[in-house]
Amino acid sequence: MPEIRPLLERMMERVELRPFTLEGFHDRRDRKRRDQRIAAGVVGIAVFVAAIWIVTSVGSLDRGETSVGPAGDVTGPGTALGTTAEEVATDFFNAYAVFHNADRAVSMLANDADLSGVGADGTREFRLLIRTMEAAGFKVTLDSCVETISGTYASIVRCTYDFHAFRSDEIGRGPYSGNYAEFTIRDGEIIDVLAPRNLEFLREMAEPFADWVSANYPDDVEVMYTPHFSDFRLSPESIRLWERRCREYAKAVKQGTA
Amino acid sequence: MPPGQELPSFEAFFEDEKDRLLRVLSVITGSRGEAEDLAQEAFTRMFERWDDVGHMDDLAGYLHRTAMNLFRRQYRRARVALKRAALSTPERDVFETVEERDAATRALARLTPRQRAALVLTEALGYSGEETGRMLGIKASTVWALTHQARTALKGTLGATDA
Repeated sequence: MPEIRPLLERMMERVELRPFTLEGFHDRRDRKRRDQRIAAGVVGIAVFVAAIWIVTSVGSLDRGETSVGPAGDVTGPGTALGTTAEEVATDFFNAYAVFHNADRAVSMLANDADLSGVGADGTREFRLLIRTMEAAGFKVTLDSCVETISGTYASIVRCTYDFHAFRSDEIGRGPYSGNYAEFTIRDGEIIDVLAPRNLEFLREMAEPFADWVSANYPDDVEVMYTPHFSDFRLSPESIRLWERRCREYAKAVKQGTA
Repeated sequence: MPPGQELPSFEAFFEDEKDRLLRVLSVITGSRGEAEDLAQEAFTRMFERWDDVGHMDDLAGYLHRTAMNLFRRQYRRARVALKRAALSTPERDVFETVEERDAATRALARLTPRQRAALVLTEALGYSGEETGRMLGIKASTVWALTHQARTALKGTLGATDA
């Protein structure tokens, strides 16, 4: 049999490339962004119209009352009513990251949803992840959700957001901006979630916090983290420790002992 | 990046890497259109974060990871489409240009995109099983299984022609 590598190289060389110039790249990019802005504007108008409809037709509700989703779950304000991919992503992002409403978030997942992009294996771990984020003081502000790839059977929506975590707001760090999460959506359900990490947050909060836990509570490290501090360890015991240690860390920083 | 060293230019990076990326993606997906879409989005993501990522030592590696992440999701969507609509295989123009007598490339065309991706990333681009697994969102053992399947399929197809 021929060597694999030369075979692949030969095949790649044979591909007849069409022009892919820098100018063309920027043109396509500008066009796409313009289309996305228009789409975002349309969604904004739709949400505005929906909001007006809610205020006028459900005027008897207490303004401070939290809205309730179709399944009866408390979702907080801003719950999408429609079925576009951007609305589904917005609704899911709010439930998962902003309001830490695990029931609502899980109810929006497809049966075969891939949650490995946020470090969870299955819905049980996803619920634990949401509780851990809440315990670790994640406070997330959604900026916008825009469809980046539109397909016949599924779409990818990118949501941008700012956040505080590990009580960074209490010690004068953050908020951490420039973040995005991506959701693949099929038939109004989430089938894939991806949320890359924020490098500034890692340097400024996550690493000093891990050092502090290691120095002061070495026995907790194994309970709170997966090996090499690569991720949250997802367990009820871990959640209790994340809440407690984040609170103590903020206090120590404010007292100048961490 | 060492102090005083300027951020490399995105333009130069684009020119250096675009053809290679397009060729890699074309062979993996089998479609020039899909390869162009994926390359466009991968370069866009790097362009928009160039101040953060431009100083990385292995920019090509980052580009490949970004493109493979997009491919992974695209592929998942394609599978969903096939399951739902029982569609035939989407148009694959890359392999149509292959001469009929070239058994090797015809054999490559018969592999699944995932098998080709595992093969291209490990054999042509030299990534380890772990790195390839991370790019494709699968375990290293799955990468090994895919490359093994691909090699076996190629061997089966090409065995007669080599004899």
